Amino acid sequence: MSKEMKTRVHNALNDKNLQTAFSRLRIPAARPMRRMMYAQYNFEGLRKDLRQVKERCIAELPELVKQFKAAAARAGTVVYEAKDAADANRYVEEVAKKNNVKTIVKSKSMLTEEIGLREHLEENGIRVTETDVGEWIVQLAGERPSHLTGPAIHKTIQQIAELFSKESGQKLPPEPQPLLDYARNTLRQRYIDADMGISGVNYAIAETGSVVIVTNEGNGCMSTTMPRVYVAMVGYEKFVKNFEDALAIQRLLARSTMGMKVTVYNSIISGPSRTDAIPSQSPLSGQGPREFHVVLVDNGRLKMRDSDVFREALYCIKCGACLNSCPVFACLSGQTYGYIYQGGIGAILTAFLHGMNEAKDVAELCMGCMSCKDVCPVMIDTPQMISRLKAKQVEENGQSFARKALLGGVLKHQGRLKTVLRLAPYVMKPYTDNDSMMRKLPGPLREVTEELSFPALSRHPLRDRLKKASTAAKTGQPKVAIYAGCVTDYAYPELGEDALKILIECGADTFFPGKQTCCGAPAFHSGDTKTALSLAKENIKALEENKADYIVTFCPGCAAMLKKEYPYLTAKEPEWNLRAKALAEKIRDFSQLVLELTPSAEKKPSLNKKVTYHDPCHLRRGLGIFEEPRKLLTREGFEIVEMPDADVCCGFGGEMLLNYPELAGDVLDHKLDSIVAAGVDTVVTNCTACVLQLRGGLDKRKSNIKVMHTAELLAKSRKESVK
Amino acid sequence: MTTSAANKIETFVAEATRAGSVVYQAKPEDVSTYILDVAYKHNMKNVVKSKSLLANRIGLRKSLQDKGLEVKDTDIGDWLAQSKGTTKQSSKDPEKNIEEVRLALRELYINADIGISEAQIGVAETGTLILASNEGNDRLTSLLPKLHITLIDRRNIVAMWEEAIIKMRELYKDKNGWRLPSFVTYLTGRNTTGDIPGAMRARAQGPEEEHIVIVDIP
Repeated sequence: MSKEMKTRVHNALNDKNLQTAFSRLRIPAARPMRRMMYAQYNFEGLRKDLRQVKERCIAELPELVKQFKAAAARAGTVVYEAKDAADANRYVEEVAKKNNVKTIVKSKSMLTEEIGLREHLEENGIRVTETDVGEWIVQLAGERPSHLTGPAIHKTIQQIAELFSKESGQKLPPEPQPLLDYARNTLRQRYIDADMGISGVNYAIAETGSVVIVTNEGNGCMSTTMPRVYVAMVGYEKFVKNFEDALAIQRLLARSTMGMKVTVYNSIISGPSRTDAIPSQSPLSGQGPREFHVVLVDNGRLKMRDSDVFREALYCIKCGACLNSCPVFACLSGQTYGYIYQGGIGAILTAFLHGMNEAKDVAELCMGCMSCKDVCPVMIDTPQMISRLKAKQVEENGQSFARKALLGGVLKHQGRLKTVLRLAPYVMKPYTDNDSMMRKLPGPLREVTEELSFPALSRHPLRDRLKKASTAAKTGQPKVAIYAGCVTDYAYPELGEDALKILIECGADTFFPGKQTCCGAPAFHSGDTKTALSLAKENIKALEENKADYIVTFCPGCAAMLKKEYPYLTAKEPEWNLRAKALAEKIRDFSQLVLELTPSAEKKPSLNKKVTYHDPCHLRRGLGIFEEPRKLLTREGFEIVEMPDADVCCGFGGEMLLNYPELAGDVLDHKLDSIVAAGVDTVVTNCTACVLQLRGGLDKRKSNIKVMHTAELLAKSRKESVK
Repeated sequence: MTTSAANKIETFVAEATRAGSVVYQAKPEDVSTYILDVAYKHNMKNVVKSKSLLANRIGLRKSLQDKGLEVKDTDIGDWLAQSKGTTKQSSKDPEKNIEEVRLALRELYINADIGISEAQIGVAETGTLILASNEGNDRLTSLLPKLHITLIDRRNIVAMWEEAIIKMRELYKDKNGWRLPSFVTYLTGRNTTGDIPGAMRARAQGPEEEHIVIVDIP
């Protein structure tokens, strides 16, 4: 994490205008509304189709480019394949000079932002006007777009009124229609005066040599039709084979961007303007552009295509759905990321388009909550690419000293980790309050405890307590191995004991494999795959002990690591890989296992107790489990009151808490607001890390709302019913 | 009419309306009355019209002109035919002539109150109209005037996009497969923007109103 990024994050979080404008992204109803919209059509089916289309088109890219060029040539379109960004800029400048161009109207294009085309033309004395209203606002402000589809989403209406007033020289009111009227009238004159139009494209269709621009405002149509010269800037990822392929994009693009079935205008240009109204030797140009140029730009894309891991970033259709669902993006703004592309997908694109080093900071802003993957219309697994990107960076540049010490030096060695965690309760004693909470930690942790309080570590970890609980196998009973995870083991051992009681009640024969250690997620997610692999092997060995039927976890972060990443980490070692896959089959979340062990248990009478449920990211999106915990709670007699945004991350994810405590605190704050909105006194969740985060945050707020793991809640209700 | 055909039109009307268009279903003889009503209501007089076989067939230009509207054709060929005698071709160079016509037409679009186009295809599932031209006049007619009216032959409305693509392939067939007109626009509802807070449905850069007249030709 660089100092610059830390400053930018701090500034964004404290920018009142930005936070006011961005509250638009955080309306509690926005997410359920979006989910409802997804429910209205076959989102899963359509995105599988689109994924296939993009996979095929990127695979066949050279053939599609050839086809496009042939069709374009027949129509009289000039296609130029630029060698690099500078060459693309030079070519457009040349076309402009040849046509004596003084003014240009430009329609939204992230590609031109990427290569700095507008700046290049302006340096050459040409006046360039952005014609998308949002893009024009950021141009007037001298900024970069803050969102793929909403470039000015970080501006309040007051700021926009000020910018327009300054441009027009008259005072304009902060009301939508007068501001839009001003923009329309001004831009209209710019179209009329313009000598040349430039646009990006949403996709290019090979069979007809067409480019397609979608807009709601109409600017795409006008800037490509009114001037006498038109230049389309096309990145190689934009090609599809035919109109059927294009339809797969069309069906999801506008829906993913803003929940509309289609955008108002889809502007398809397949050649320069032509007329046969007047007899002539050569074809005559009609009322639109007499010249139509298509500039193909690589700028890192073909290298991305060559990579097995990162190729899927090229499938992105730039709809912005990932940004709208990203809890981190909702606290910052696109500009905070520092480059052209924002959010998780922005980290990958930045790495290839600008450089690995530049992407490092952006990647660290990802909490790995997977909400982007959930809404992506092309099923891009951005969180996975980010962890691979981090691994690549560590491979190339190594870890920072502090991380190396922590991950490689302590985490990797079970003995050392144990020693540190066992000493912690004593060392931390002076900072621990009577109720076993730490509210003010020294040194680098001071900032973290400003956002949330921490539980003191236990002097009697679960591994000590369960030594006695280990029972001999009885025939017929399902054998359940407990995988505690560090948080349960050392911070919440009572939670582990509670879970054990419930599982025994369910007829399980439980035991605690003593050699288990940290699952390796902290190392893995920061790119240290070496440490992660070594921990994976230790745990595989440890958990094979006693040949368990099931391995139960209380932290879905651990579960996802054991189930999904161990097979990946061991992929190059067949024998370990087999063992990892066998292990993966046995992993169960606590509530999932309780339901599986007692499928026919009857619903208990109502306890007249309302609770709300928080979905842990790795459980809901990582493992697809969200019905089971609710089913179990209802079966146990609880009434669930759903909070808005139940599945939005609590802010524990990634290394956010350590790198950007202030930002993690903001994400946590939004989560706590949702919890409070449910209006009940207990929030239940199925993840010990979420429990830690939520308890810490509510403690800072001095709230009376109780946070409980499902296991704790079940144990407590049994205790109370005995009384 | 079969039920599925009726459903198709119903869907088209519902979707186009939802997207912000005003949809009117007319017999051929009612089309001009509807347009005149719209024009009178807004106190509008100047009309530009792009190529439309449907309009020709029902004699739309004449009936609008008879009631006092100024109607100008924007297809260069149609415009030259319409303004025969009133303009002279000043040069022998066709390029120069075209440039003169282009500039004259440009003035017409800019000052027009109403633009009238005909859609080649309507797509019911999204309420979309497909407009096409090689000159680009269709696009300018639909964007620059204050108000835009699209005519569509009821029989040209298809249910799904898959059918629309098949229909386009047939309409624009050529020796290399098919060749699209230089400018094709899918138009769905009325233009909007999300770029200024608090006004998702506000008019953006295109016309203030979008009207669709579905013409039922017996």
